[in-house]
Order: sequence, then C-alpha cells, then structure tokens
Amino acid sequence: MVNVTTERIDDVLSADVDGRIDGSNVVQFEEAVRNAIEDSDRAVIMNFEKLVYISSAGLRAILLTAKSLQNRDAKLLLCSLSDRIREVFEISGFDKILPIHPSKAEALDSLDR
Amino acid sequence: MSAEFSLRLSATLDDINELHEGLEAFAQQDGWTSKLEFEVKLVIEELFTNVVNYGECPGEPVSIDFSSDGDRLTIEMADAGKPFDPLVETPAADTDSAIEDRSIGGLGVHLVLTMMDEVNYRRDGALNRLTLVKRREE
Repeated sequence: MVNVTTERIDDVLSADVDGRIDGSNVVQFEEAVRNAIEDSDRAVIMNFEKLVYISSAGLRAILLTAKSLQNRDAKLLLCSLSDRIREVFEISGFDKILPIHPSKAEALDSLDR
Repeated sequence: MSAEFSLRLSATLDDINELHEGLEAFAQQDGWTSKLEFEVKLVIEELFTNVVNYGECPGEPVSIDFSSDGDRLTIEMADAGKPFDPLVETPAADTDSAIEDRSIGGLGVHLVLTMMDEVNYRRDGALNRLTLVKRREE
C-alpha cells in the first residue's frame, strides 16, 4: 500500500510518500509522481517521513524520475529518510547522486528561491 | 528457542503482498528487530522478483522456508524456473556513476549480498535452490 500526496510550493513539487514501495505497487507510485509533475516544476522533493519500506523496484522508479528531471535541468531532492530507508540508499550509492535532507523545510531552503 | 515458518508463493508479482504480510507475522512471533525484519523482507522480495521476472516460470510455485534459532536465521528458497545462479549471472551493481549514466541492473543482488552473511546457490534437478544465512545480532 502506497499513497502519494502532492502540493506545489511555487515551482517546486512536494510529494509525501506514505506506506511501502515494493514490486507489487511501484507502478502506482511511479504514475502518481509522473502525473503530478509539471514541466514548469524546477524541483521535486520526495518526503519519505512516512515511507516504511522500499526495494530496488522503488529505487528504479526514483532513478527514472531523477533522470527525466535532469534532462530538463530540474532536480530531485529527498528528505526525512528513516534509518532503514537511508541504509538502502547508501548501499545502492543513491546518496551520491541525490541530495538527502533531514526535513522538507531544509530541502526547500537548499533551493535558491 | 527455535521457530520455523514457510511461504508458499506463486511466481507472480501479486504475491509480494503475501510475502510481506507473512514475514511481518513471523518477525513478530520470533521477536525480530525492525532492522532484521526490514532486511529479510527486502532480500526475499529481491530474490522472488528475480524469479518472477527472469525465471520464465509464471505462476509456478516458489517455496521459501525460514528456520530461526537464537543466533541465526537460515532461509531456503526453491523455484522451478530456468537454471539461474543470481550470484554469477547478475551484472555488477553500478553504485558510482552520475545520474545520467547510472544503471539499475544488479542492485537487487547487491542488496542481498550486503545484507546477508551467507548466500549459496545450487541447481538441484529441476529446481534452483538458494540458501541464505543471517546472523542474529540482538
């Protein structure tokens, strides 16, 4: 079960992800994010405060999102990862390609606005 | 104190739910830490997904047996997919490239090898058999 709740803060899309992203629901997650992103968004912040689980299926979706944003000079930022989720990102080397912030406020502050 | 648990799944992505729910119950019964529960769920999902995606055995049974004592958790996984040794036939994970060059292949097996203490594969007649061991730290 995964829920994505989005809001737009100026030209930044914030997506709160609640539940778990696994191989059986990753398509749902991917579509929810893709449908919410607009071409005018300069950055997307994925808030993982309520994300309890992710497998490589979810990492794949996140990488594809990051690639497509980068193609048009937009950015993907992550925030509020639990220790478990952070461990998955570190083992996978995703912490080297995606900025990870302690909170959504800090992620927003890191963007020049 | 020892405990045993079995999952009898079919090779379809829909059964990932059953995998998570079953492991959640067993983790609680056997007193796992949240870290152990997370890692075992992840490892089993990665290996199960590989069978579904590459085993060419849609809907065929996949059995996963867990046996736990105070010190270690042993997991035996068997599937009737085509012969496939994930330890040998998986590309090395790319954990360094920049976003534009980053590829996702091999990440599942990389997570499995990082999180488990032992992983062994053997082909046994028509079955692929994986044996995994995780030491209990708590």
